[in-house]
Amino acid sequence: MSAPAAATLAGRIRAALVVVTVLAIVVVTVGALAVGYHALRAQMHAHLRSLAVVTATQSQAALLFQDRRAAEDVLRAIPADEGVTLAELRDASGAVIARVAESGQSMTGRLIGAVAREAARAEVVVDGRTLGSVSLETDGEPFARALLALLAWDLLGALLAGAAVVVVARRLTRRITQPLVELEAVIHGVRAQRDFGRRAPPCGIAEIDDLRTDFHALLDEIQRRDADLRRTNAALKRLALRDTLTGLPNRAMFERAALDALSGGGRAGLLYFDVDSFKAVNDTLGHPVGDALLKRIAQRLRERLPPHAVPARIGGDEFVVLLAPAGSPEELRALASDVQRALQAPLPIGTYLFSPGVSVGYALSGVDARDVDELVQVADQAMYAAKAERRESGARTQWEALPEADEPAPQDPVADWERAMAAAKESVLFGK
Amino acid sequence: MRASGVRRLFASAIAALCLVAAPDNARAQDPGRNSGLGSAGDYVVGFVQYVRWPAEDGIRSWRVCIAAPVGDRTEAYAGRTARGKPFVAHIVGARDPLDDCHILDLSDAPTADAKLLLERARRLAILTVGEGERFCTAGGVACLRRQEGGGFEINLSAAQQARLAINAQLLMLGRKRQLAGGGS
Repeated sequence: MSAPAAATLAGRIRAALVVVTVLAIVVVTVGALAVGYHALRAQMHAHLRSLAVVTATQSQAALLFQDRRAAEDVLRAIPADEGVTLAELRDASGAVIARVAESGQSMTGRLIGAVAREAARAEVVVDGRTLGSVSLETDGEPFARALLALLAWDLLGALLAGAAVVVVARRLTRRITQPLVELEAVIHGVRAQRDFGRRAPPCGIAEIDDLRTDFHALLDEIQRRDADLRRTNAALKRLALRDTLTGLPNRAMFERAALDALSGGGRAGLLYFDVDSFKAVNDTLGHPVGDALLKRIAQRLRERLPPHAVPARIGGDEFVVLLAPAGSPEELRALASDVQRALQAPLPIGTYLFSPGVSVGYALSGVDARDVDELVQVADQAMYAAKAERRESGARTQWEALPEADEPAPQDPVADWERAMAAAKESVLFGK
Repeated sequence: MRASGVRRLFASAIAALCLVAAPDNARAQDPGRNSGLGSAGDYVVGFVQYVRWPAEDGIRSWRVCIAAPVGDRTEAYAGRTARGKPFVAHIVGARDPLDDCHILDLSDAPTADAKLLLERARRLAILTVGEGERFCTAGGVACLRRQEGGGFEINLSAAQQARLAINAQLLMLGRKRQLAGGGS
């Protein structure tokens, strides 16, 4: 059972305006017609009464002298446009002295007369003596004409008012809804496209403009928080997938990349490097020097590899390189030797000149291994085998003191790591 | 006899058709054909309503002088009033003084007496009432036409000479008669 469709704001405003307008028009029109009808009717009666009184006055002599022709002339003298359809002059006994009647009324006249007929009577008094009376009747045609004119004007006014209201309603509705539509477009842009840069234009309605201003302020806040969140996420991602000492991908990122490479079905190769007797470096020269050595080895590794190779530090002094796609076993062996030579080149660090010893093993998916774990395991075993041979041959990492320091003392990588972690944690906790 | 009946029937049918086909705005009339008052006294009472005498405020009653050789014409005024004042009528002879008369009723007077009295009343503030068109020609103010179907005539120049003010309504009645009747 679905909820009924919500009405639009514009529709509701228009409907309200139409209802109010129609109500107002009906009330005003009917009221004006009713008032007009009664006023015109009263005026018509008063006018007819005045006409009867005047006619009675003018009939005095004719009635007094019983002059029927003169009496008839008086009645005939009533202007035709007064709409009098029957004029009668009677003497005191009620006998008709003169009578003038409109004959052969048209159908329209009879219809008008049916609703607007009016009559008036006035006595003819001479010297305090009532000689007779004048009776006038009208079919109310002037009244009906005035009423029709009033009705026509009312209808015209109603039409004009209705048209004006339609125009005003459209403008008002547009004026109210347009800013809301623009605001809605901004909200939609934020929600659907994360477009925090969009803004609604200013609006002429104070309440809506206040809403727009507040929303923009809220949007600014959201935008700022979103940027902070992105930065924090990026930092966290770096922390999660990168080795903080060397900047190389860590074991997690390597495993993900290796998994992706193998799941793609192509051939992947893995080089496994280990720094010989690295523990002696740490134990003899201290961890900062050891860290600096690792960083420089990582740097050389990064510089030496082809662009599609993914180097990673997966242990203390253990580095791997994922190659996807990989070439032939020979090509892989050649690359391993090439990189090994590059890493073993003399390396000045602080006041020491190192001659790093690096053991390397490699493995090729589809040849040596079927999955990531096996690939790593095979390469690791190969590397250890090589390391054992090198150990027997006396190969190891060596160093000697330099007469002068060629480069600044290595920075404290542990302190760098702690600072980075603190910044990331603060950023997550406080939304910076 | 038979042909005459057919013609009458045909004429009646034409007349009926004419009535039916009368134009919408034509005014039908239904006036009575009998106009006018019966006696000169009735006219005189009516005239007084529309005639103003000079120094009228001093008049307490309307004195009607009647020149009639036979009958008691004064009875026509007995108990009657006009503008709140009673009528007082008496018979006058051709040589009786007219100073007290407001109205001189010569409608039944012999022609010779009427002429004499009319001549004597000239320039006096007396409403002279007589019969027929010739009375006005002779200088009378109000000329009755009872024998010509009713009505009267007002001789405005004679009224002005007698310093009588005639109401417009009365003049209209008298003038209409002149115009409508063409002197007939």
